[in-house]
Amino acid sequence: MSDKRGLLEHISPGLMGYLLGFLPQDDPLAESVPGGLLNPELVERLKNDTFCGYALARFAGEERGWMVFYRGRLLEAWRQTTYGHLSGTAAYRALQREFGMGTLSIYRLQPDDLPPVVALTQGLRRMIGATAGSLEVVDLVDSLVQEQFTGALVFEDGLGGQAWFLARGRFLFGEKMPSKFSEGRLHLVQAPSKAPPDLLELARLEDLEHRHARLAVVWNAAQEVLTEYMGRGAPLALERLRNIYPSDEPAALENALRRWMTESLEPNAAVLFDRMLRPTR
Amino acid sequence: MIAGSMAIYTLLGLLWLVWLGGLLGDSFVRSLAVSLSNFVGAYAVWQTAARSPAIVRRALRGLAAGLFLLGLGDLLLTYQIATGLDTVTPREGIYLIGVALFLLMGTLLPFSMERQGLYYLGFTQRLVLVALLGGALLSALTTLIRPLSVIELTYAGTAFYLTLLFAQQIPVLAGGRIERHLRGMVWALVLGSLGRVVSVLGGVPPMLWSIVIYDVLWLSAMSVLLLAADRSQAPRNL
Repeated sequence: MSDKRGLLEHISPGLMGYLLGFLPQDDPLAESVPGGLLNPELVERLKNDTFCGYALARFAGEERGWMVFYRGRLLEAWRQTTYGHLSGTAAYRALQREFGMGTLSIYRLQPDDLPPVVALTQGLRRMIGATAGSLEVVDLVDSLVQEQFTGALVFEDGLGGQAWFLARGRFLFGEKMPSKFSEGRLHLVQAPSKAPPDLLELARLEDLEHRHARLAVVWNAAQEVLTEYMGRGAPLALERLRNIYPSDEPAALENALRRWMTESLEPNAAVLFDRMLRPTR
Repeated sequence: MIAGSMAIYTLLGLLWLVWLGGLLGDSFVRSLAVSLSNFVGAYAVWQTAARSPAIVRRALRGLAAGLFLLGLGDLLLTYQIATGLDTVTPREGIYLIGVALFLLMGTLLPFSMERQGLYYLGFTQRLVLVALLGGALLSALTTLIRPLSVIELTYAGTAFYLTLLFAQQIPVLAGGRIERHLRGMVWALVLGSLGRVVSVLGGVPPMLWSIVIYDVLWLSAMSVLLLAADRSQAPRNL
């Protein structure tokens, strides 16, 4: 997996955020609106509209957040943090939490523009940190055009830089490369051959898995309490309780069981339950 | 140790001694000791109820109240022995109310356990059916040994029924806190049932061996309740 994570580990989060600021912004859906206005239905809406493009969130201190959609699927989420960055579902969750604290802009892109853009974070690395000054740019561009390259070429010069995107050997967004670099480094990443998994779906599965794990923990704690009070009859009582409380929402189940224990058994039972749920050691 | 338990233990010990003293010749003293032991038992059950899980509390309090009424009835009997005044009618009434309380609250326990989800569905129905059948069978057997009046039959049937009802629940609850609170009651019921059998086998004229054994069983039942009340205290690990 790590060999496909594009340039995330090779350029600074600051540069990454800087580069994202230069992605085409010709076709805005929303610009610099308070992030809170569009959350939480935003993502669902983009998904249903089979949206192609990206959302750029700006937070205090020049921090950036970024989400890329391809026909309504969330291909990438990235969140710059004070000392680094998050990506994937972790970034998606962080952004969801923090939308309210930043401003948000959403821009449409053509479906074909997206694979090279995604290459920034998920592409296959072809060339990393090549000294730009020693490269024959014309030769490089010729060979990329010839092989009908799809991906991104990133020039890094200190804290600044520039990115060029190619789809089947054609430069996108009307950008041209200079014929020569005097200094700096060049990175080349190729668009992934297969569409990355939908982060929305991944996050949903993660949520589901997390919920099941939590439910198991809650029922486990309930079983401990029942064993304490019911002794040998605990398994049958547990089965009964499972039927009475079929909730698949861990927090609701926890509360219902806690109330049941306090009312049917005694407050100490709920204390024991909580102790099982949140072991201090 | 329960609050003021030393005093209550001393009282129970005294009752045993008084009873022993009465055994040597004074049936009033003997009867008084047995009557008062009922109140000790009721107190013990009430204490157990106060510390037990909510689900068994109501049933235990009902049983304590029933025991209190039995104590009142026994006191009336003692009064009759002392003064020769006939107290049969009020006594029977009080006994019957006490027995009815026993029946009702004892039966309530498994039903509330099932309603709250601690027993599987239909378990209580099975318990009650088995207890009813067993109680009827045992009552019929005792009637075969010696024909009983309807009232005597009611007492015996209730004792057998409750003993069977509670004893059946013990295996299901074994090892848990609820069982710890009910254990004393079950033993007391067993002893009480044995007492009924003894009183049936021996007939009722005073100072026969059956009366002595009956008294011993009854005092033991109350002692068991008191001991169990002390043990039912939740361990201090919470």
